Order: sequence, then C-alpha cells, then structure tokens
Amino acid sequence: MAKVLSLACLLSVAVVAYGLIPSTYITSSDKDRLKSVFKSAAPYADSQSAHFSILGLKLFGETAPGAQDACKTLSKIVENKVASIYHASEAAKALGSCKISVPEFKQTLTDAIKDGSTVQDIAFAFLALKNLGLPVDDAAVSKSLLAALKTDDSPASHGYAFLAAAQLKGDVSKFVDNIEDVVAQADEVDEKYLQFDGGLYVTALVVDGAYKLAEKTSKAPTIAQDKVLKFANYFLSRKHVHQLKSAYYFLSVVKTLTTNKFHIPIAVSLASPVAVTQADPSVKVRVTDLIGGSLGDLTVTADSARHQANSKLLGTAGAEVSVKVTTQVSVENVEVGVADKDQATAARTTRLVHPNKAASILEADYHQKIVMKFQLKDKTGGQLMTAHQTFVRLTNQDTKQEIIFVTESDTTLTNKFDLDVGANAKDFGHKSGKYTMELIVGDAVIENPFSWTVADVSLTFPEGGAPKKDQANQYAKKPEIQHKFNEPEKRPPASLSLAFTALVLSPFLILLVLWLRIGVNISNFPVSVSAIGFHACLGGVFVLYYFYWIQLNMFETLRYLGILAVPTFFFGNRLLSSIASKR
Amino acid sequence: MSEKLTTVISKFYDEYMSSTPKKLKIIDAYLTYVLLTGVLQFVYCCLVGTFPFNSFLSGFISTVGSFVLAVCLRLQSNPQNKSEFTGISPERSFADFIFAHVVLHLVVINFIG
Amino acid sequence: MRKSQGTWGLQWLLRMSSDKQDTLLKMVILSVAAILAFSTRLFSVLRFESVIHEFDPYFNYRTTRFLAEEGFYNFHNWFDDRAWYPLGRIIGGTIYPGLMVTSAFIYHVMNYFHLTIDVRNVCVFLAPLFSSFTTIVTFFFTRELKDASAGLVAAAMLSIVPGYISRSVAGSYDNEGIAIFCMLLTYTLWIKAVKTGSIFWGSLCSLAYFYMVSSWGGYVFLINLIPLHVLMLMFTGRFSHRIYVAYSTVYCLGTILSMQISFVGFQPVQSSEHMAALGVFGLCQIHAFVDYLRSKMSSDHFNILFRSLVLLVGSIAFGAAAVATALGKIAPWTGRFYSLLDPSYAKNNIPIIASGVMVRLMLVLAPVMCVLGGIGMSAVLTTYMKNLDNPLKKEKKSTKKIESNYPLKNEIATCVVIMMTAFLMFYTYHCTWVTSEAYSSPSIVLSARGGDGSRIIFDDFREAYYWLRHNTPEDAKVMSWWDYGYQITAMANRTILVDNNTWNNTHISRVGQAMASPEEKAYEIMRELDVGYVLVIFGGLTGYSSDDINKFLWMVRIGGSTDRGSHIKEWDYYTPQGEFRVDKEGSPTLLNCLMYKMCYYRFGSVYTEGGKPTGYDRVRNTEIGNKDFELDVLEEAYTTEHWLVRIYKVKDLDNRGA
Repeated sequence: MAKVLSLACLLSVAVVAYGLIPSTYITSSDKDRLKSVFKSAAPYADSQSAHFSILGLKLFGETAPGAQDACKTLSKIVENKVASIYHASEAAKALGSCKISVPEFKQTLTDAIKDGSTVQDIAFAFLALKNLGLPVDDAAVSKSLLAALKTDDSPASHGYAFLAAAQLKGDVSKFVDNIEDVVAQADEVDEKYLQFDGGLYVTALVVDGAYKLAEKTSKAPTIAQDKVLKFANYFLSRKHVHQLKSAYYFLSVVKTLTTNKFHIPIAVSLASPVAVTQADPSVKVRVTDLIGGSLGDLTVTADSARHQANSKLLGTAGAEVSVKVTTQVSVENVEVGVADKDQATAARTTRLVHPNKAASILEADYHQKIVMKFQLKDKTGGQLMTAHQTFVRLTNQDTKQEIIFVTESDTTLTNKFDLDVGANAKDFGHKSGKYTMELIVGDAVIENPFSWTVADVSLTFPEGGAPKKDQANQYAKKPEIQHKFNEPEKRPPASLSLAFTALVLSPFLILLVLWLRIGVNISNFPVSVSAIGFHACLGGVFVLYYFYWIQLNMFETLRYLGILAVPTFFFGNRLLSSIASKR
Repeated sequence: MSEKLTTVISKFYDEYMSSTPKKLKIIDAYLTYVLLTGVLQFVYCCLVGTFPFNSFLSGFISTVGSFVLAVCLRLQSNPQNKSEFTGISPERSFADFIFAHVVLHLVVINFIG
Repeated sequence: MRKSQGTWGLQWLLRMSSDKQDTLLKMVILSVAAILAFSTRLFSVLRFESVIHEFDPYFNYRTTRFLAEEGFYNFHNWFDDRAWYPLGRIIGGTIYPGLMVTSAFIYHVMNYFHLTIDVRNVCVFLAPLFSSFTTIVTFFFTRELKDASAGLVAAAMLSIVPGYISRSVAGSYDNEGIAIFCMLLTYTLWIKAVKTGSIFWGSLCSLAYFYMVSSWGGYVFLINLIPLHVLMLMFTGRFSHRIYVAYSTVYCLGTILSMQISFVGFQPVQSSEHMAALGVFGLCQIHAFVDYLRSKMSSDHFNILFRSLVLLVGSIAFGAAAVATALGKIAPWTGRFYSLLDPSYAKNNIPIIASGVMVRLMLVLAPVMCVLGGIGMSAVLTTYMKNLDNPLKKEKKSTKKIESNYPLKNEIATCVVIMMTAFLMFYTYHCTWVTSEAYSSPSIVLSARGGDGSRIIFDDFREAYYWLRHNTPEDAKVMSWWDYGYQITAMANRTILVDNNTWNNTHISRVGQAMASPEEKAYEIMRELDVGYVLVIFGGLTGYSSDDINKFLWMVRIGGSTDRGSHIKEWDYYTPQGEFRVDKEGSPTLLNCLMYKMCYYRFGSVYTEGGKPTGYDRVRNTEIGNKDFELDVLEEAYTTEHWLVRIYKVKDLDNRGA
C-alpha cells in the first residue's frame, strides 16, 4: 500500500531538548478561562476561596475587583482555625493594604506549632504568623515539621513543608535533601507524564514548593531535566482545570516554571496549518515558555524533515511537529488490453490518456485476461508515487452489479491490474455481458482524487458454471416463511346434514311409542322434594353441559359441575334409598 | 332352514314378551332407540363422510356408551343375575348409571367441538 | 425414663383390641414404606442441590413453568418458536400434559395456601412424592389380589425397587415418575371393577386410565393388557356379566377420554395398537348377547340361530375390514409398538429411539415383580411362621395331638424365616447402594473423585448455559447436537435448531451434516439455518466420556441418512483399517471436519496429563492428530472452566469487496 505521506520536522532548540518537549502552551483563551474560574469565586464564602481567587488573579497581574470590599469580607469570614487564618492572611497580604488581626489568632497559631501537629497545620501556622508579621520561633518550626514529616511522608505533606521551608530562616538542607526522594515517588504515565497520587493539586504543590525552596537556597533542585519536562507535560495536559484550588496551584506552578532561575521548560508548537500544500509550502513553528511568553531571541534550526510511515510519535531527540504534505497527482502511461491466458500471443494493448475513454469495447472471454498498467506521478515534483487506494471497478451495465478489484504496484511504482476472466467467473456470478471499467484513485494527501471510466468491456463466462443466484444477492432478504395450514375439508350441503339430524332424532319417537305400548307407569312417580330436586339437578347438569358446548371453558364448567354435584348426590341418595326401602 | 329360523325367532319373541319383566322391557325399548340412533349415525358417516371426525366420534361413542351402560343397567337390574352382583341393588346400579353418564357426556361435549 | 415410656407404649398397644392393633400396625408399616420411598430418592438433592436432571426433564420443567405462568389454554395452544428453528414446534399438541398439569396444580394449591414454593422445587420433588403414592396404591392393589400382609410386603419392596427408582429420583422430572402411579392405580381400580362388577368402579378405572394416558405414552401397555386379561378370562370360560360391565364401561369411557389428549388424537380408533381392545370389546358384546340368547331358548333353536348369525356377522365384518384397510383407515403397525415388544427391533430399524427401551420395560415390570414377590414372600413367611414354636401357645399345643407333623419342623421353619429375612436385607442394602451410586447423579452437574479422594464438582454445563443467557442476543440461534436442546432452551432461553424431541429426522440430519462437514461447507449450512452460535461438549480435558466426539459417529450416520447429506459417508471417517481415531492416524476427513476443529481448537497447546505431550485427549487416550489450525468461519466465544462446553460464534459474512 502507499505510504502515508507526512512530514515531521525535527527542530533542535537551544534550551533543554529531550524529545519530551511540550507541544502546547497556555494560550490566551486558556488564560481567560482560568481568570473566569478565579473571578467566579467571588463573593467569597470562606477564606480559602478568597486566597486562591485573589492570588490567582494576582498571578495574572490583575487585582481582584473591589479590593476594599474584599478586605472587609475577609475579616468577616475568617475563623479561628489555623487553615482559615492562613488563607485569610495570604489573601490579605496579596490585597496589600488589608489588615486582619485578631488577638487570639496568635495563640491559635503558636499552639499549632508543636510536635504531633500535622505538617499542613504547622506549615500553615508558620506561614500565617509570617504573613501577619508576628514573631516565630523558626527553629521550633523546623524541628516540629521534620518530626511531623516522619509520621506522614506523603507528597502533599512534603509540598507544604517545602512551601514553609522556603520561608524558614536557618538550615533547611534537610528539606532540600527530601526533594529528590519525593520526586522519585511520582508515577509515570505513558512515559510522558509524571504525577503524584492526588492529582494536579498535589503534583503542583510539590513542584512549586520544591522550586521555591530551591530559589531560597539558590541551588538547582535535584530534579532531572526530563522529569521537569514530564511534570510540565502533565500540567499542560490538565490546563482545562475548573476547580478553584487546583487552578490556583496549577497556575502557581506554571508561573514558577517560567520564572525560576534553574529550569524553564519550553513549548514548541506548530503555528501553521497541518497540511502543507503546494500553495502554502512553509512550516511555521512557535517556541515559547509554558504560558506562551517569549523566550527572547532564539535560533530555531530544522534538523531534518522526513517521511514517516504511519505514526506521529515523537522521535528520540528534539522536538517534533507533524505536518502533512499534500500534492496533485496525474496518471500516466496508461495501457489497457486483453491478453491470452497462456501468453501464447502478445497482449493487444491500447494507450490511453486521462480522462479519455477507450474508443473501442474490449472483448474478453474466459480464456483471456484483461490487463491494465498505469503510473501515478506527483505533478509538482514529477516523480512517481503510489496512492493509498487504487481500485478497478467493473459495473455490469444491466444489473448494476459492482465487482471491485485492487491494483498492485511493483518496485518500479507501476500499478498493474490483471483480471483472469475465467478464474474470477464466480465473482461475476457467471454473468456474461457488458461491464463498465473504472479506475479509482484516492489518498489523504492527494488533492485531486478521481474516478475515471477507462473503457467498456464485454466479458464472456463459461455457461456450464451454474450461475449462482444466491451468491449475487446474499445480502438480500430471504423469502418469508409461509405457514401452511390444513385446508378444511369440504362440508356436506346443509340440507343433507339437516335431514340426517332429523333422521337421527326420529328414533326417539319410536322410543316413546314403544314405551307407551309397554305401558310406562308415570303415575308411580314419587312426588317428594328429593325426587324433584334430583331430576332438577340432573337437568341442571345437562343444561350446564349445553352451556359448556356454547360458551364456557373447561375450568368454569368443572367448578359449576362440582357445585351441582353436591345437591344431586344428596337428593339422589335420599330418593334411591327411599325407593329401595319401599321395596 | 329359513322356516326353522322364523319359527325360532317367533318362539323367542313370544318367550320374551311373556317372561320378561316390564322394567327390563322399558330398558330394552331404550336400547332399541339408542341402537337405531347409532346405526343412523353410522349410515350418515358412510354416506357423507366423517369430516369433523371428532364430532362424529363423540356422537357415535355417545350412543355406543349409552347402549353399553344401559345393557349394564339391565344386567344388574335383572333379578336372575342377582347372585352375580352381590351388594348392588337396582337403585345402586341406577346411581352408578347416572354417574357414568355424567362423566361420559361431559367428555362427549368436550369432544364435539 | 425411656424404658418406662416404652413399656407404657407397649401397654397402650396391648390394651387395644387385636383388630385395632392390626390396623395400627398396617398403617405404621405402610407410612414407613411411603416415607422411605420418598426419602431414598433424595440422595441427589442432598449430595448436589435441588436441580432438574438430565435432558428431557428440562423440557418438562420449561413447559411446566409456562403452564404455571400462562394458564392451561395458552399452554394448550402453545407454538414454541424457540425450538426447531426455523420450523418451530407445536408443544400443546405434541406432549402428554399430565405431568405438567399435575405439578402446576400442586404449585397452585400450595401457593393458594401460602406455602410459597417455586415451580422448580415442585418439579424436583414430584417424582419422590408420587413414588410414595405408588407405594400406597401397591398395597391396595396387592390386597385386592391376595391379602393385606402380601400388600405390605409388596409396598415395602416397591418403595425401594431400583428399576423404578432409576426413573423417579428427586430431580428426574419425567413422565414415568407419575405414570407408574397411574398404571398401578388403573390396575387396582380395574381389579376392583372386575370383582364387584360395578359401573361406578369401572368409571373410576377409566378416569385413572385417562390420567395415565395424559401422562405417558406407555398407556399402550394398559390398553393391551386389560383386553388381554378379558380375553384370557373368556378362553378359560370365566367370562361373566361382571366382566362385561367392567370392560364395557372402562373401554367406552376410557376410549373417548383418551381421545381428549390431543397428542393421542384419533389413534384409539385408528391405529392398530388399539385394535386389540376394540376387538375384545366387540367380542364382549357378542359373547354377552349369545349368553343372553342361550339362556332364553333351547339349545337346538339356539344352534340354528347362532349359525345364521355367525354367517351374517362374519361376512359383514370381513367386508368392512377389507374396505377400511384398503382406504387406509387402519394405520399400519407403528414402530414404537414393535419397539416395546422387541427391543432389538428399534436398534435395527429406528436408531433414534433405540436407547431406553430396556429401561422402559424394566420400569413397567418392576412394580409387577414387586407385587408378585410380595405375594410370594408373604405366602412363604406366613406358612413357616406358623410352624415356629410359639412359647405362648406351647402348653396348649402339647396337650393336643399333633398329626400333620414332621421332624425338625421348628428348625426348618426357623431356617426358612432367617433365610427370607437375609434375602430381604440383602435386597435393601443392594437397593440403597444402587440408588446412591448409580441413579443419583443429575448429569447436569458432574462429579469425580480427585487424586486425594475428594469429590470434585464440574458445573460447566450450567456455567455455559448461563453464559449464553447473559451474553448473547435474545434472538440468537444456537446449534448443538440434539441431546442438549432441551437444556439450552430451558436454561439459556435461546432458540435452538434441534432438541430431544426427535420428530424431524431431516432437520437433525442437517445439523449432523454441518458438524461432519469441513468448515467451508458447514458455513453454508449454518448460514442457511441462520445459526449464531455453536455449542459442543468436549471431554478431552476432564475425561468425560459422553462428549460430542464419542457421539460423532451418530452425527455422521444421521447426517448421511438423507438425500442432502449423501456426500457424507461413514467410511470416510474411519482409518483404512476401519478404526475411529483422532490421532495422527485418523482419517483426514475427520481431522478437518467442523466438529473436530471445534472440540480441539487450541487444545494442541494444552498439557492435560503429566508425562504426556500437549493435546493429549484423556477420553480417547491419544495425542490428537491435528493440533495447529485456525478457525476461519467461527470464533471462540466461550469455553468453560474445565473445557466441558465450548461455544463458538459464527462469523458474519465478509465485508464485500475485501
């Protein structure tokens, strides 16, 4: 098959380049979205959201709307808890001319700095005291922080510890030493991202803290360069964050990564459309820091541009940008003809020029084959090429049945089509007749795909091959199954039936006559309740049967019969036993 | 031979008329009636066909059943057979007869369609 | 404490009159026998769980559930489109509904009294319940024949007779379970009717006969046996009015009642299996009429009349019979009848119903033998028990002069009694052992002994069926050999092509052809039949011997038995030496047919037994011959834990143009 024609530009860039270079950055629309996240937090429900919102906006160089109001709200919502005071103090500090100071806060904060408190509380208390300009025992903070870290050494705790340590006076080397260990805990995803358990917020906190701490000690943090890139990739992959807290830490860390003294990851992205066409042949590349800021004057050199088989994966070195080069194609050296199967005679071929159709009808029977040759040429470069899709379609002119074949290209990039009429008879359903032959060429990088009616062909198939009907329409609906019911037999005419009904009933008269002659003694009929009841019930039973015949179903009948049976049995028993006793 | 046959039959007829109890005669009359009905049904089926076969069968078996049951009743009420049917009085046999008929005709109605 | 209670019980027993003691004892013995009959059939429930066994019971269970849920009339008119796709099957008209109606009735009654029990449990316990009833009926039957003590022995023997247990353990929910009860009930009532000559008992007997007809095709035994009895009585000159009354009533009512079962239809008046009964009925009428005439006239006259009547009737009857046969009104003798009389007939002529004829004969004869055995035992014991020295009566006897005496009378009697007791005990042990070992495996759940002697349960069948139920489209068609048809419809609720009701040989043959053909050919057949999934049973991994490869020759035979399958020849599946083998020596036709491929797909890379190469079949004890192959038109959809059931999905047609 034709190769995917795509071009990957390999760029070498002056700064760190490890093939992991982010290919995206925080664009202005990303910024707007983040700003709106921060703005939507107002009016503030608690000091934490005030903190994140105000500081977030400040990172963008904007002030929160209504600084004075914000300050008032802040002093209202602050609670006498370490975290709350911390957040409020941070916000107040960011607002500038805002003071929140309540006497008991000092006690609360100082109390929090002790062995047994969590890392977060100690760090918050320490930072709050700093912010509020209150005196702090730095040594005690350092000691209790280290103690707390022993019990809880999660990445988040370390992140807070880094943040606090960045402000600590005195020896912080123990914290600096921790940086390497903590970073080693990060999980790698797809060999491209690094992240901590807990997601964006924790990852951002740790990285941010580490760099801030490094800033203080003026020593590059022990994070390998590829790891920084992986972190940066991870952050940028999460740039659509909506949660206030995460957004703040995300922005904070990105800012840190663009402003710190040690590592500044860059982003290389494509500035021009992906498709490189004849009309617009240049490829533009944008090299920025993570938030799209300029890096000053840099020289960007394209190392190489190469065809890539199928993937857009980045190479092992340098930043890669994928582009597709499209082109126009023309079809050349087209020959169509009929050849004998056994190659006894040379093929009679005709040359054709696109888009003309062959003048004469090609005739082939099942001893022959149809051959076609053509070449595809890149119009601009003039060199031969292959296309992803090159088909020959034969359409029966009567039935519109289509049979499609794939052409194959050889090493000289000549496409060949070879149809053995006899061997492929099955595909055609053994239907001889006129077919339209079309050449179809298409590819993602071809600007002018085409379908060209090359010629009309008349094919003759062997007759003996039992034309298979179902082969042709195996997708068609199967005939519906018709259930056959027995046809009712003819009934005799109604008059005959009626006559016989009468005849069958007639012996009853004979019975009556005979009984009369014998002399039935009806007067002996015992007139008693039981006798009348018995006969009535018997009559009832037979009436019930009549109704069963007409309308009732079996279960109803059996129920009624059961009810009737009781009095019948009772009366019958009494009647018969009285007769028996009389005798 | 045929003369003899007629004399035999006439003698039998006289014997029957004189010595058979009235009760049995009534039953015999009933038997004749049922037999005739059955024969007529059979003739119909031979002439016209048995098409709704279940209807024909239910009718025919109804007559056969009635006939047979009546014969049973006759046997049991015949004083001469008293010894054979110990414990079955004519009344008891009549009750049995009714019971069997109730069952028979329930089925006949079910089968008649 | 216990002892005093015992003595009190004894005193209470002794205080009663001997009549009462007698009745009480009989009742106790009978109830113990009935309870024993019920409980000895529960091995499988205790050992496995309350499941339906085998194949046919699953169909019965499914229909019962339908009946219980949809009502009788819907059941009666039920056209099942889940089976015999695409033909379907009229269930209401092609089964004996007695079993289903009985269980649905019990189910509804129980639920009416708020004893909630589900249909499955009713079905599982129906056969043991009816066995208890049978035990009781046997007692009454034998009592009619001989006396109460013989009845008790017969009832006790019947309650554990293996021939009967084999078809009536808990979970074996089949027609025979209640049919034996019906049969004995009919016998009992028939004997009663003959003895009393009452229309009433005759009517009851015909009702019992009706129940029998509604529940089992084996009613043909009865309708031939009863006339035979009457005929024998006629020949021995013991025909009486009582027999006339009994037989006429039973035949008339019984015939029309039996025709109410739509599966039986008009057979009682048309097919030759029932003609004996009709003939005897006619003979009865003539015999009775002749007797009547004879009693009314002198013998001379009678002879004249008789001769002329015989001439007349004979010529008419002969003419009628000739006409009827010529018009095809009298059906030729059907195969199943022969198969009942002659087990080898089925084997030679109708392969599909060959199995199980012996079992059926055994089943019908078992109760009869129990009755005879009971009578014999009882007679022997009664005779010799009397001869035992009775310490209570000894003094009285010694004063009397004993005439009919012989030496060692007491000793011989003791010996005989001990021997009989030993026989009965052996019988009991044997029956219990057989029941526990041979008849109590549900065959839907298999068990085997592991290397350490523990029981291993293979529940692969249900695993596969539930997989089908939950993972295939509702209207998927599943092709399998017919043995598994009932189970698939009942448990997986999917449409199948053929099932255990083997009413259409061509259809079964088509499935056999698909299984025996190479893949490409089979695909055509499967497309034609719209098959979505194919299910095979494979025992090569576990050593389960009744799997599809071992049944395969039947598929080949049945597949090749019709015109369309004439290209399938049994001989192609054997080696030139005439052996059926699946290893390298096996015939290439076999090694490339669909069934082989489905069973052994991926099996070539599996180790089954230590020290053996891969792909070692533990049933055939060989290494399979064709190990490395791919399936073109099928894909493996599911294989159960022990590879017992393998399910394949039939691939759709290729995309066009590809």
